[in-house]
Amino acid sequence: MITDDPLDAWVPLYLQRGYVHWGYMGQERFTDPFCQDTLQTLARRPFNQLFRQRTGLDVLAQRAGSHPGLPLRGIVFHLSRCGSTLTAQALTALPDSVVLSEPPALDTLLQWLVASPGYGLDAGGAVLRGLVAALGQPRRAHDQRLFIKTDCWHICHIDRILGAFPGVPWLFLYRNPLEVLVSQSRIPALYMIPGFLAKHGWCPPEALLTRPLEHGAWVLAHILETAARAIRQYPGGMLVNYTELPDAIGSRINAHFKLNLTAADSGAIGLATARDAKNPQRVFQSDTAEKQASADAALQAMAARWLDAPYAELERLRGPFC
Amino acid sequence: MNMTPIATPLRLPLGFDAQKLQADLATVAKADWQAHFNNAIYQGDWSGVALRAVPGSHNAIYSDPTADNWQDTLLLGRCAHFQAALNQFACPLLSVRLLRLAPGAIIKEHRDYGLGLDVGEVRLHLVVSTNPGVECRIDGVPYHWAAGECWYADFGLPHFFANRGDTERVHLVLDCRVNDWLLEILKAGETVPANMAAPANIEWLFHQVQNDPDFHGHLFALTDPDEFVATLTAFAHSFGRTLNTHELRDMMRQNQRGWIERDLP
Repeated sequence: MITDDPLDAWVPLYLQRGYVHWGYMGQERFTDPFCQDTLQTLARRPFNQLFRQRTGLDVLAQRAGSHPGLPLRGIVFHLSRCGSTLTAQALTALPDSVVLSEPPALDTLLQWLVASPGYGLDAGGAVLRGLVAALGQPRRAHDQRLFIKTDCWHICHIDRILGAFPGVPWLFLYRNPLEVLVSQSRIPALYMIPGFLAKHGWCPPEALLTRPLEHGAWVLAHILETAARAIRQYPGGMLVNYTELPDAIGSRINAHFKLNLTAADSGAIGLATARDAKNPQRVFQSDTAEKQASADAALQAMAARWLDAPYAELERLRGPFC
Repeated sequence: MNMTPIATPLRLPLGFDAQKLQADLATVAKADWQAHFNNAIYQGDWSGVALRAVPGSHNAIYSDPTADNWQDTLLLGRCAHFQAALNQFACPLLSVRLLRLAPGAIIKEHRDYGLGLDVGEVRLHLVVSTNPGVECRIDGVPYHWAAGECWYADFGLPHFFANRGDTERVHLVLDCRVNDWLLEILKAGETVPANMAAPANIEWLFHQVQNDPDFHGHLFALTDPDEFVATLTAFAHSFGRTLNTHELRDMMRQNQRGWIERDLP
């Protein structure tokens, strides 16, 4: 492993104030439900506490020329709480696949691009490809292809993302948004904080700033509407409802992402999807009925106001699979 | 296009005669230096003398963010060159202090709050005396600030100083109220390319480890920090080198803190 390349087998741990902070990754894999968890484990290693490297952002695009990384074979956009982590874990079970599940550096970079309007689509695309290349390096002999699951609000950057990766198939995963809202009312995600998405350019109506749950409904509505717009506008997209999981992974998603699953792959996916993706000690079970039953009148009213129409529209667009 | 939201330190277009400032510095009596009150964040001798202070304050070098009655001290009245230097600043001056970092002293990485362009108050450092062994890191990036230079930095970012040389490092530290003149001076300030190198001994270690794949693999696999430091110490010893383990641990803590604070502005 003697090499003149000081960043060989390193990975961007995080981006901050215009810099890339790198840690050594060696032959480790992104196997945790979220990239963040794997990076946290790496950052905590004494080696990476002492030998951190830092470079300018420009290094990402430069380096992508000499170290292009694995070919990106699929992007998963989603509504959150809809089986996206299950899908990411299913792809992670494929021995030749590297999956970046909600990489935080991607979120930071997209925020910076929003804050830097002078940074054109081309220049922004080059940095995005550079970051994905640095995260998605082949680290083991079997590594052949790369998949990304974005944060749910990254659908708002779909023009920029598909522009940077033209021709890469993508899907939008969602479920009945009332069930998502029930999930968010129990364990709220960061985006439920009113104003959290302002750094991505989504500013809620002022009236919702003091109503987190309804603000969440507003965010979900925006995600659904943006997905509907994108599926009409861009080729290479596919809509998948939670109700189709996990079977759709071996069928529609297999075909769409050209996974070419072997019998062994299908077995591995079967094992992965038998578990609750975020809590692998538990067995995965569809909880549609339970979530529908526990939606109170207030939640149902919010869904009726913000979510029913865009959900119905997506279901219409999903078409024959409904 | 620059995507760095916060400017790096700026060397301001102001000229000072370091020798004259040092002549005034030589007149400060030994007993006038007062140990810095922020004693949890430094090792060795870090001390100060007030040139502008709140009259009657029992701690004249405390830059009290709530005070509004800053006045020249008797010491400043005696020091014509310091006075001439301060006269170059056409902005209201609040606290002004000489801060001395003795050889061997370290100011651990920390942030200073309550300062910044957004609150209308910035801290400038005019370098009176220094040496090549003085290490200054702002936001983890090392800079060299030469005698006679005046620097602006955002001290709300993590910053660190160490004097690894044999002579004192003395800065004249000015807290300034922001006005149009100061904004113009900042606008005309010069950024200096960051030197990304790690401190010399860590750089040396890194180089050695890079050239020894087996040892590299062994080190990376270690999860216990104590074992890691002991292993590195033994490794350096085999090259006849002694490692400063406090420094290694400080660096490890600093990087770990960098990870934890990665989402802070």
